[in-house]
Amino acid sequence: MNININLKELTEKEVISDEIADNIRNYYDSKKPESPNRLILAFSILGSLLVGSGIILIIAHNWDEFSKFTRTVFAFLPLVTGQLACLFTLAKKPDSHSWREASAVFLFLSIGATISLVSQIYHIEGELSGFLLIWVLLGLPIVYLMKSSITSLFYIIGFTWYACELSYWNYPTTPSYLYWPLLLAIIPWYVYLFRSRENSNGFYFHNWFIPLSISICLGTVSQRYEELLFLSYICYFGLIILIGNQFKNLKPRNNGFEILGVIGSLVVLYFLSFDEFWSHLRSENFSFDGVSTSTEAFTSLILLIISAAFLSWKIKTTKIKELPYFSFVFPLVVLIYLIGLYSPIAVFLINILILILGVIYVNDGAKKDHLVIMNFGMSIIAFLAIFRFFDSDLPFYIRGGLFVIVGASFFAANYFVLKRKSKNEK
Amino acid sequence: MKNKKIFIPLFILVALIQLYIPAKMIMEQEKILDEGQTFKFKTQPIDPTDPFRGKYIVLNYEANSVVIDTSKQWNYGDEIYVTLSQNKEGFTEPVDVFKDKPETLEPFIIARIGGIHDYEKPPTLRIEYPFDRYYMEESMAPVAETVHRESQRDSLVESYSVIKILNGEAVLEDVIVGNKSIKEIVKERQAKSNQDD
Repeated sequence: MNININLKELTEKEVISDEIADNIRNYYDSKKPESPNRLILAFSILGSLLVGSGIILIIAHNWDEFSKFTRTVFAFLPLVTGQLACLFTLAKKPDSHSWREASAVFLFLSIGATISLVSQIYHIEGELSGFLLIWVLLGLPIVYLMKSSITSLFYIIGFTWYACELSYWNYPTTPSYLYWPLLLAIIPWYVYLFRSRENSNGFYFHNWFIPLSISICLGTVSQRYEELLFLSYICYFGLIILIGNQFKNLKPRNNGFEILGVIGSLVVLYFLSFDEFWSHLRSENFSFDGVSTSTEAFTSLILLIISAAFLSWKIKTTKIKELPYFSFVFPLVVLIYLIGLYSPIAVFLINILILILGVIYVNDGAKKDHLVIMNFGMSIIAFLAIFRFFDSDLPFYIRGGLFVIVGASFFAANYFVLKRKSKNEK
Repeated sequence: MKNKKIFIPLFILVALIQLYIPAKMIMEQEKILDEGQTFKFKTQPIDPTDPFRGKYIVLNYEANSVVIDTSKQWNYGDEIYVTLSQNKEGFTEPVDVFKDKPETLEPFIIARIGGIHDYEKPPTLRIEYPFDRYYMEESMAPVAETVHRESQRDSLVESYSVIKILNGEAVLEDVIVGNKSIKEIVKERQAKSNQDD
């Protein structure tokens, strides 16, 4: 918008005073987004990514015809180029967002390329997990020195992958204790993003990547008592719902904490709604000595204490009505779990809890004439119905009839809400 | 401006560390290649692709198991020390395995447990050698695999890996089929098939 030319004309013609013109200019200056042209930023990151990945692929070709020395020199070429690009950025373009992101991403990728090529030249075996660990450790300082969000996302992907390699995909599996310090190392950067770039895409992406990474890797603490992991997970999901609830000005799609927390809680609830789990739990003769010193129990307890403390603080400081319904799920599930160790009633309680949650959301949506909320509640109930068909011995025609009823109620509820909405609008 | 002053030296320091790590890898390998003892391990090949590291052939070794004492606890994937000796044909064979660094003058390598067969009489342990990947140019790896397979079928042509070992650390130097490096053979084949075309 070229407002200056118009303002100049208006002041010359004495339509507005200089003071008003200045006020208008200041207003528009303050409205200008701080970030540079997002398109340039996106293209420079994409360019870096493509060039970096291209180099990795070119390197993967192996180039046998070159001598070992030549290949070694080539191995360092991308790394040195990336370093020089970053140095140039720091010295000459410290304020350019695009330069910072692009050079940092390129350097991050070239670290991996260089290590790969060296291991290739010397036929170094090495586990993928070890390679990823060296890569992310060497890449971590780039995030802070270059203030690069994309590099930070790569770092998160890298250490998540490392933990999965070590604890899920490699046999024998080993717990990846290093995952937690690696995660902590990126938290100051996240706090910085929250404080200074709350409206940037970088921050929004982190809101998804960080809770998702922990959701994936929380299971890596498991060694012998997987049954207890459900407790860790439900407390963790309760915690991230509460964290997500702290971000008041975020659109739901940018609030990965809350959405993942709700979806995760539902997944755990549906898991626990099957009787197999509970009969297995009662048949397991847990020796208290083993359980009380297990990593799963320790993790569950820590997460329970943190989430419970957070929840009670939230209840004290805000109105209960403002808290999402799902933030009350974890204490109930913990309670039901303790009952479930001794009594078969637990599975019934879990099913009732899911049903109540569904009804609350349907009711809420209907009251507010909000279709999304209402359909979310309906879906909770519909899934519950579907899962119950799996483990019931009902004949097909009854199952079919129930499906029809669930489907029809979806239509009916939506129809009435829409009808009421259009009435109100008139 | 203040930031510039701090960030640039810090960045240079980080950059030096980033250069040092791969350089150190190279120096370690070169040291083993220079000073290490040479061993020949007889081999038996598939060609998977590692997403980061291009193409390689997988080498299986003939002499890869030793008799173990089952009173000790052996777990799959654990690190082990393997002492080595040469047989009459000049190929290397494992002699014994240890959980800790052995106090012998015999040459040894650090490897991993690839499997435990304690139902066999006598019970044996399969050694996973740290040098079962030989990286080649992507177009060469499939040809190399064929060459290797043919040599395995033709029992007159022996194939073996040349390994350098120093203080338990091993580096794969070359794969020999018959009396030539597999790289040479593959290059000859490729040249020949180009002529035929």
